[in-house]
Amino acid sequence: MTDQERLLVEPVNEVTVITFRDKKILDEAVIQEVGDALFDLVDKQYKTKLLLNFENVEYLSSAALGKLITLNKRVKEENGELKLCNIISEIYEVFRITKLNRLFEIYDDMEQALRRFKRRES
Amino acid sequence: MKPLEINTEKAEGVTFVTVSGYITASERDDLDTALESLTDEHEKFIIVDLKDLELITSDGLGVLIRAHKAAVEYGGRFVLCGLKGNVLDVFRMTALDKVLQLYDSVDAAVNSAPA
Amino acid sequence: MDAWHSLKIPSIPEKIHDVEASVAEVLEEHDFSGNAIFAVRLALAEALANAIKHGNRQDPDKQVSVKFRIENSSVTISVRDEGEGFDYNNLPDPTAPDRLELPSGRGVLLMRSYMDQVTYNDKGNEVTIVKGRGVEKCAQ
Repeated sequence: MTDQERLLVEPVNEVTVITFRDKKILDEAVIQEVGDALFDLVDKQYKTKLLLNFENVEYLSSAALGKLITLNKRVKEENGELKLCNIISEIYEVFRITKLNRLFEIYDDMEQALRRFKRRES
Repeated sequence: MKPLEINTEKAEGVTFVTVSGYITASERDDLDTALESLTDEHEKFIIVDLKDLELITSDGLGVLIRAHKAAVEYGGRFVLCGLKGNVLDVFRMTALDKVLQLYDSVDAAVNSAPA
Repeated sequence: MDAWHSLKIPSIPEKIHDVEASVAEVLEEHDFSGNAIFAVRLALAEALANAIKHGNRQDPDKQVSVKFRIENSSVTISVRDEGEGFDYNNLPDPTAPDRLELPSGRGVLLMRSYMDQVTYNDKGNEVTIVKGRGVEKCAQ
């Protein structure tokens, strides 16, 4: 388990589960740090199966959504998977209005999401 | 002229894709979308003709690897042909001539036996 | 002829083609060989892609600066991003068996293979590539 300031990063089998510590991901500096930490997982630690756990998050800005879109694209380039879970209804509504619920795979809870990752082919 | 041109033609049991121009990070998404639409349909035999490809960078190679992997997963074939000169060197330099199946010409690709 | 040309682009991958195509045009005017121009286009496109995607992480507010200079026998190009830099000495080998089938990680290998010189600044957010003019093979 790695401890970062803004993210709790835990490996579960082949999947890297990332839990946001912040309640609010709103201001630019926070978004930048969260974004950098997420991209580092892909670019520097070569993690490509990511599950983002939003259980602590109560507010999310559109700039943060922008980062998630870029991250999703980056993960896809690596043949990886990005899934989201534990999103409160207020934030889910934002995903729905912006139609981002079609772009992202969103699950109610972590167990459900973890089951949907592809297994490594033997 | 557009930097990247992609033409797809379906014939008996084979899907021909002709790619000409450049595939850098600028163009990768267009090629990715085109090839993904074929692998999503589980096209059995995809032949990509690269004889008029002028430049390919690591982003372009990544797209071809992704498509190849997707085809192999559903039991299809994804092969390349027509590579020459500098562009062929890029595949050799990165050892991808060992991963992807390369043929000299479209005919050689059509007549090739499944690996 | 020895002056530095410089330009800046926003961190959008679609801009890469414009830059490498215009540098290629200048090299053609200066009679660089076809092979040398191919090599520079490839390496420059890789350097720009790294700067935009990994350095600036496609943040449209961040820019990539490109400088180039043609001397008698070679071209020198530097590409700088606004990112934190990276550890260019510890990149995994993309041709290793366990990495061979991964879609990415070949950019730096290609730059090093095709350029005469590839150097980074200490921080790792600026790469400088150098390529000689090359000899054009005589037509038969």
